[in-house]
Amino acid sequence: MRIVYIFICLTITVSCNKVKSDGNFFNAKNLSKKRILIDSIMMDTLNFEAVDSSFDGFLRIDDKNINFIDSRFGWFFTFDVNGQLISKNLGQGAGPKEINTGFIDAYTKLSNGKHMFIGSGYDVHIHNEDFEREKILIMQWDLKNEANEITPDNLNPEMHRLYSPDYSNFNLQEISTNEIYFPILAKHRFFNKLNSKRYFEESRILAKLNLDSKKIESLEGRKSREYLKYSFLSNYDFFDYQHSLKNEKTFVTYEVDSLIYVYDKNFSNLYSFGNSGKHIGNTDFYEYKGGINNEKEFMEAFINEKSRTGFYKNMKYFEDEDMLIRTYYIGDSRTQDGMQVYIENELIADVRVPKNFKVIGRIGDYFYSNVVTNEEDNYFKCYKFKLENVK
Amino acid sequence: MLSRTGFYIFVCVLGFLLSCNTAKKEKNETKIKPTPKEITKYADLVFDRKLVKFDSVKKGKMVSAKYVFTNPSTDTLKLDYVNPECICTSYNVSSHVIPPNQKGEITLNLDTTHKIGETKINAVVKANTKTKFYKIMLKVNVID
Repeated sequence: MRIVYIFICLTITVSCNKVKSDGNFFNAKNLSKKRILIDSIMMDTLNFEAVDSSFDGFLRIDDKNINFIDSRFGWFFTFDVNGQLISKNLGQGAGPKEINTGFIDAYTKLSNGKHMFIGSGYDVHIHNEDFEREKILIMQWDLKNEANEITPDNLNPEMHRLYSPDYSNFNLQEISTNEIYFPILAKHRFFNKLNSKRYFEESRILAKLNLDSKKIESLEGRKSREYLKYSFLSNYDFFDYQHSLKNEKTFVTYEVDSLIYVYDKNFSNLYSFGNSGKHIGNTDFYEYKGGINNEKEFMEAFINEKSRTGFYKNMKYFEDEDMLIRTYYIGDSRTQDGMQVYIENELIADVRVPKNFKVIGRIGDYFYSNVVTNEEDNYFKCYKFKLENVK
Repeated sequence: MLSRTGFYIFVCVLGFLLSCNTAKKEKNETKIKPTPKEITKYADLVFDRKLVKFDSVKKGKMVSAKYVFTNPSTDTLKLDYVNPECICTSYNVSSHVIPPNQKGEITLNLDTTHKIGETKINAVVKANTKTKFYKIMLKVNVID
């Protein structure tokens, strides 16, 4: 009897430790539901008035207007819902109403109405509602360790030195009046997506920047446990996230995982939900075996192998309706991607959309996509659609 | 004392006159011309072409692209800077100061040593024009 008792205690202890080692990142309940209300959507095109732009940039939606942030020239163009230019502000320069950076990598409008931009040198620019410069700060990382001092033995995944912003998806999300999340990526030779198992197990995914102290306060999150089922899914190391200020929740989706994970403000997993993409196609992900110095093989795999498979991409959350829209790449399709719509964790639509489609916001009944630019013909446009059966 | 009908007629006439005055006022406002101090003069810059495309080029070769431009304005055009986005690309400018109705030339020189496949290089030109910024582009397919 005593032996049985010891065995039970031991089992409980071991299983508790197992949960602890995985943290509280992926363990909460799966609340997936499905009730399809929409089979297809009508897509309209919105062409924007011609402007003198570099055509390198991105769209952001505010309450009633569509803004094009010209990354290279620093212009902030504001258009109405018909694509007509309302105003043109900023532009590169050192003047009080200009932006003093070489390239705008990221932008968000803060809840206090101010504009926040990030340049390519960790430079953060805050401008007031009238675009007057308020402050420029350089974000401060805790860089105690030199990169060459970090070895497999002393490597700690919390070391700031390992990370830099993920410029491929420099998505800023406000989490309080003075705190911002942005995505990060580790590229250290002992801690990277090409040759490090530990990277997929322990790498952090978000940095929290304090706009008052200028410091990176903490590194949050983990990569999906789906990555641990493979040796190196180096070409699928993308994730997207959204934060709801109102609901104090953070949503994270990963390329290789159909589930969306929801976290509280302490980054503890509240629940997960999500369904496999109806049109996603082949999900036999290509495992990279080339190591750290085989850039050619990596690029060839990225171009040729990845495009044959389907994977999850971007998300946009609308907190008033608890609605989340996620897009996914359809394997072997040159023209179409997929889009899922969830309301209160329930899948209500899974439809085909144009390639590289991403929802960036909503004005009234219309949802708007990211920008489609053609710099050779000097025009840009976006798509818009309605969800007819959804209140 | 006015009769009720008379009162209504009076109100309508008054309203009509007031609205006419407002319209007149708005019209007058649009006629105000800015003083000479308020007019900002700008030079102008027109590129013959902003994009130069090359076919396949062997890796390691230098590729040079020329961008001819004109100053069609009555003011002197000044180029503040030419800024290629990559250290692999240098540039030459015929002159940073272009008199009215004169031409100038910018050359981008791309070193393809570390490039492979479809390659695109942008450079930003800043000038004392209303547009301020211009992007010139070079596209080439670099082969092994």
